[in-house]
Amino acid sequence: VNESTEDRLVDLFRAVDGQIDAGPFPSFAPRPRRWQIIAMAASVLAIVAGAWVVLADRGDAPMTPVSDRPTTQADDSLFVAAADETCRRLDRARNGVAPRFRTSEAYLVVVESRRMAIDEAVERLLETTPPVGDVSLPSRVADELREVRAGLVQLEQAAADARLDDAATQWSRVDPAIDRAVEALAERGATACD
Amino acid sequence: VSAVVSGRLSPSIMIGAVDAPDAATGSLSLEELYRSEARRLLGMLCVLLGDRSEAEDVLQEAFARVHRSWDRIQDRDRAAAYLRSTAFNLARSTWRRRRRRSGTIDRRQSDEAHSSSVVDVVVDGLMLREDQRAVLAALRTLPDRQRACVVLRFYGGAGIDEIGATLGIAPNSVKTHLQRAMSHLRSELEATR
Repeated sequence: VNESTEDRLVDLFRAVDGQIDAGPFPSFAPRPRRWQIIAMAASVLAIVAGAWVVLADRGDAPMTPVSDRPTTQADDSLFVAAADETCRRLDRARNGVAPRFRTSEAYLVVVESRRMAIDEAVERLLETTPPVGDVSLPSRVADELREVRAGLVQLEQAAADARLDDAATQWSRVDPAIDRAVEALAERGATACD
Repeated sequence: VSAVVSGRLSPSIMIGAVDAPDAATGSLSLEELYRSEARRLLGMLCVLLGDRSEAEDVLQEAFARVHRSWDRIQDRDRAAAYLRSTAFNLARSTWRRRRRRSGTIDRRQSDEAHSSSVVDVVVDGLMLREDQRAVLAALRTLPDRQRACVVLRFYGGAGIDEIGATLGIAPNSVKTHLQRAMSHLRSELEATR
């Protein structure tokens, strides 16, 4: 039997498809990752230890109501650390890769590099515990970064079509767009995003 | 190859277009999206990643992310495309993590080294003939992006533009990836015939 490669692929995929069962509709509450559990446990321990030190120092001083500020600080510090890491990753890519020559290939290389940097940054951002009081901040920034990523498709197309002037114009907009996307992280205290 | 990359591929040789949720705009629920997409997406992820449990994790995470963004997805007809795009991005992250763990710099070497064990894992629990296993092993020798293009084209029944949108690459790049992939698969399968 002289089957074409296409036929053989379809034959394999049919066989797999016929045996796959995704199961019933499950709950999609995101599962905490191991580092999140460890970080959470560490935060709780730090808060308990901090409260203990305060109480021990005060001795018989009158008890004051415990505010929820320590929890807020703990959660925010996790977020700020993740945001800093996100921006440092982006910076590494931006400092290390730029089109050295005005050629289609040079632009295609930098597009791929920026795309990977954005993917990694978005992934890191969405993995982290969101800041208190603005839980949608990571996904908003991630969406803006994804828009920058989507814009890279036009740049890639321009480079592939050898429209180098268009590619240069679009390239000049990429890093400023990334800066705008991460501005909100800087406002939240991520110094690496300044 | 030209038919494969030009978008003139006959529907009869594909498994079928990804089932688009048939609900009216706005009325599609996440459960309906799961029913229409999950099985085929899981199959594609199994072939892509070569590991059933990793594929299930990626599927779960992709749905969790769509679930989180559900209120912001204005056009629910696009939810399936968004889901697929998210899942393929996550699969790509999984490849990257896997590569970092293995510490192998050479992508091709890494994929080839991985291929024999992957075939066993995927075959575990699936009844595949020897010739089907050979195709699976050949697929594993492709670079990640080429493999993703082939899976979306022949498993997902996606067109060139749809593949480009899912993977976030230009249609011309999709055509190039498909051309190279099919040419590589052809010679790989000829060699093992």
